[in-house]
Order: sequence, then structure tokens, then C-alpha cells
Amino acid sequence: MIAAFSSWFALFFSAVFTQNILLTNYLGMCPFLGASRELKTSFGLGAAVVLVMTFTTPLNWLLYHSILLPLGLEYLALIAFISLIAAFTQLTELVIMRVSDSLHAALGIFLPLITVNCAILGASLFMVARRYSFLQTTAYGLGGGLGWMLALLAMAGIRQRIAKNRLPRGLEGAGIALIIAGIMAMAFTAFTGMATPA
Amino acid sequence: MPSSTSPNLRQRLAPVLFLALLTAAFLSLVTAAHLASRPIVEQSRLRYLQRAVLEAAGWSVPPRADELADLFASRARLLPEEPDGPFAVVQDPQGRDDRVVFLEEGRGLWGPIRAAVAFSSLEGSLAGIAWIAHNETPGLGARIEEPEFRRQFRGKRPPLKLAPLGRPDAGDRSTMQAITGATISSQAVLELINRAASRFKPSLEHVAPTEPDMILSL
Amino acid sequence: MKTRAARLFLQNLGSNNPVFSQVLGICSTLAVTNRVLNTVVMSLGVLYTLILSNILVSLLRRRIPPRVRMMSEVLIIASVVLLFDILLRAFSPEISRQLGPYVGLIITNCIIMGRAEAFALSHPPALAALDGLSSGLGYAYVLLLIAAVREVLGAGTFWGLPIAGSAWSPWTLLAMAPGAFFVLATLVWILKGAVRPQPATPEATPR
Repeated sequence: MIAAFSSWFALFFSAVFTQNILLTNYLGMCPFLGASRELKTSFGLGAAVVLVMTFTTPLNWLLYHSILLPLGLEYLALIAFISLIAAFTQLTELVIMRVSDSLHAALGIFLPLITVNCAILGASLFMVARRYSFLQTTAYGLGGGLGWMLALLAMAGIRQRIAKNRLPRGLEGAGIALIIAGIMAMAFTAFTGMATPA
Repeated sequence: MPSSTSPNLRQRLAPVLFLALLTAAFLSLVTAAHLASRPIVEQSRLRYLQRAVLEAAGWSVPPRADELADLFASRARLLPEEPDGPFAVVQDPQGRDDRVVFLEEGRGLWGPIRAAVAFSSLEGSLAGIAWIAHNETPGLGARIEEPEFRRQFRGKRPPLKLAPLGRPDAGDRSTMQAITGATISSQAVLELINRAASRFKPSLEHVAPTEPDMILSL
Repeated sequence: MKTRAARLFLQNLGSNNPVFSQVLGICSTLAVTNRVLNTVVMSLGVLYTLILSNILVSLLRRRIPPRVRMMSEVLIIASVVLLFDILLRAFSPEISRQLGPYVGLIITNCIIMGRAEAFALSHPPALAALDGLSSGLGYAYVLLLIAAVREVLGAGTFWGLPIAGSAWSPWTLLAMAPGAFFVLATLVWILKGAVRPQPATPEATPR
């Protein structure tokens, strides 16, 4: 029991830090650069990604292992995964809209955009490619989402700090964001060298 | 009132129906393409397997598919399937040695790295390694494909460990040079070789060498 | 009509270029821009997907019920990409092996969904195809530029052939992913600083 939890936690930890899906696999770059000007926006977006990734990755595991694999339909995995993700985001948005207006304004509006977030599809593809068990997949989905949110918040924090600084002509906006992303990626590359998941 | 409920119902059903039709249309298109291309894909999968087994055993593999199949048929002997047992025994190009080939898997960055690992039954050392399939990043992890990287394993005696950075020690028979910037891929290769080696030791007894005198004479 | 098409074409290559003016759609391809050959194949995949999905969405634009618009678009794009993956695996297994999972990630390339939403939904198929072609080309040439810089400096080769002498020690950092960001940032800096494009029109800024 303790051993199982510690291996679950090790995978969760590596998904957040050493194997950060955004900074070591470069997935989910568009919203990372596009929606990281303000901490408040990026918090909502990040939370939405955590929500969707935590649920869709295990759901896709079930879909793959209990339907696609037994029926010999693995080649449809791409379509099946993205459809499940799209359906999940749409349903969640509907539910949130009914439940609370303020929650919808803070989090719900990001859900439709997330359907085409590479990180979320990537997490589902990885969990198949790396042959995770269902339990491992839950750790990976939750950790991957939190890691993505962490990187986004860090980026937004840095960009808010330098928002009023004078930058060389042409480097404002995307240019400086890319350079920051490069430096952050370098820092996380060092993480990868320090620890590799079992 | 049927007149008011039926358009309402139709309004609710129309999107669902549309989506179902669209899904059916595209799924049948993709399935047709998949089925039509399956024999070709199976063929090329078999070719990659045969090529990797021959390359690991030290052959330079002919580019043409039929020549490859001929070479494989004449030089390789498939072994009965056993858990942890070797996949095939392949004669080396000089005809002096039997290479025992194992199929082994390592955990790469994007997915499994599948390899054929060959050992020399004459010398009991690594004879070569070749990849059946991998998904490593082009230009980084995928550099495990480069001949310079793969050549380093000939004559090595596993278990291997990674050579310390910046100190290339070509003479050391128990270390492996990693690829800069591809820690996970290098680690995966190291581990799969060591696993194959631990399977090789016990199987030495099962594979009767073709010319026992040669081993005795050593 | 003709001038409008021409203007659209040029805009997508230049001032409205998806990569350097909006920094969209780089995730799936950035990782493979350390080799020119792979970048060419990935760009072809994106180009093909953009054109085909734009045409299909445009053909169906009057029939797609608004409530399932996103689902339908995702379905169309995923099928088109899956078809590319299947064809590549059958007819070019070597390249399919090298690109691996990145091909599937074309589905989530923001440009494709972006062009479908912003353009194909409101324009006839021919214009939508042209929009796909020019967006794809605009995307491809920026990425090829990045790939050329990264392969030459990061590995000392071009198209896999060694061009730098043996004295050249490769800048491994450029072959690694942070290098992609630095090269793209430099490119954006030079182009924005020199060209000073108009701010993107609202119609063309999907998200």
C-alpha cells in the first residue's frame, strides 16, 4: 500500500517538475505564449487545463483499454481521444454555466479553447506510448495538468513584472516571451538530468 | 401539441444526427485507408525487424526488399519462442561465429525503443545493436541511430554503465558513451542492453554452437 | 475578387503570418525543427491538413449546426490528420518512423482550428483552400528558416549532409528545444523590427 502510494507520488512529482509536459516536451505552447500576459487570466486557464487533463487522461485510458484495444481499433485512437476531450470540455462548460455564473466567467470560458491544446492530447498519447497502468495514468494526468499550470503561472508572473519595462524595438510581446520560454526550458532541462522517472 | 413539439424535437435531434452522420462518414473513410494500407505496413514492419536482426549481427543490409528476405532466410535461424529466450541465431558475415540475437525494449522519451541486441557466442560479448522501432526526438534522442553511436557497442561486456561526461574512454569495455542532450534515450539504451545481457547468460547453454571445437580451442 | 485573393495570399505570408505575427501553432513542429528534412515533411503535413480541413469545413459551413460546430471541426481535422498518418506509414515508413507521435499532434496545431473558425466558416471553398495554402506556406517558410539555422549551427549539417568542417564544434543547445525558442525569438525580433507590420486584423486573430 505504502509502496504503491510512493510510486504513484513519484510519477506525480516527475509529471509536475522533471517531466513537465510544457517545458520538456513543448506541448501547449500557443496558450502559454498567448494567454500569459496577466496572472488572473492564466490562473483561470491553468485551472481549466488541470480540470480537463485530470479527467480526460484516465477516461481515455479506459476508452483505449476497454474498447479500442479489445476491438482491434487502436488505429482510431487519435480520433477517439480528441473526440472524448472535445465532448468532455463541452459538457463541463455546460455544467459550469448552469451551476455558477462567476465560476463560468473565471474558468468556463477557457474550456472550449482547451480542446485544441496540444498538452491535453499529448498527455493521452503519452500514457498509451509509455504503457502506464490506470493508477499511473491518474497520477500522470493530475501531475501533468498541475505542471502545465505551474509553468504558465511562472511565465505570467515574469511577464507582468516586465510589462512596463522598455524593450528593444520588435522584441515586445511574442519575442521576449519566446526568450523567457527558452530560458525556462533550459532550467527545466537541468531538472531532467537530475532525476528520471522509474 | 404535435405541431410545436416536432420542430422542437427536430431542432434538438438535428445536431446529434449530423454529428453521427459525419462521424460515420469519416470513420469509414479512415477505416478503408487503414485496411487498404495494412498489408503494406505489415510488410515494412517485417522488413524492419529482419533488417534490425541482421544489422545487429554485423551484416550490412541490402536495400532491396527481396535481397533482404533472401539474406535473412539463408543466414538467420529463428528459435522457438520461450520466455526470456533469444529470438534468432544469425551467422556472422565472416562465417566464423554465431550471433545470438535478442529482442528487447527500453523506455524512451516518447515511447518504447525496440531493439535487436546481438551477442557473440564465441566471445560472450556484445556483437552489435540495431533498432526495430523508436520514437525519439529527431536530432537528439534519434541520434541513437547514427552508426558512430551504434558502433561503440561491439566487443563491450555488459553490464554497462554510462561513461563520465567529457572523458571519452574508448578502451573501456564496460562503459557506454551517452548522447549529449538526450539523457533519457541514452539511459533507455543502457538499460535495454543490460537486460538483454542478463537474458543472454543463461541462454548460452541452450544454443548449441555449430562448431564446438572452435570454442574449445580458445 | 482577384485582388482580394491576392491580398489574402500575401497577408498570410507576411504581415498576418501565423507564426511570427501571432506565434501560433508552433508546438507540434518546433520539436522537429532541428532537422530540415523532418521540417519539410511536417510542414507538408500541416499544409495538406490546412487545405483539406479548410475545404471540408467550408463545404459543410451551411450545414453544421451551431451547437456542434467545434465537435464537427475537431472530427474533420482529426480524420484528415489520421489519413495523413496512415498514408505516411504505408508509403514513407522511414519518415513516419522519424516523426513518430508528432504527426498526430498536428490535430492540435492551433493554426488549423484557427483558420477553420476564422476563415473557412465564412468563406466559399475556393477561397478557403487558398487561405489554407497561403497560411501553410507562411508557416512552412518560417519553420524552414528556423530549421536551417538550427541544423547548420546545432549539428554542422544541412539536409543530413555534413557542411561544416570537422573543426566545427556543434552548438548542441541549438539542437535542443530551448534553442528553438531562441532562434524563433531572434527571427521574430528581426522581422518585427524591420518590417513593422500592421497589427493583425481582428478577423484573422482567432484566439
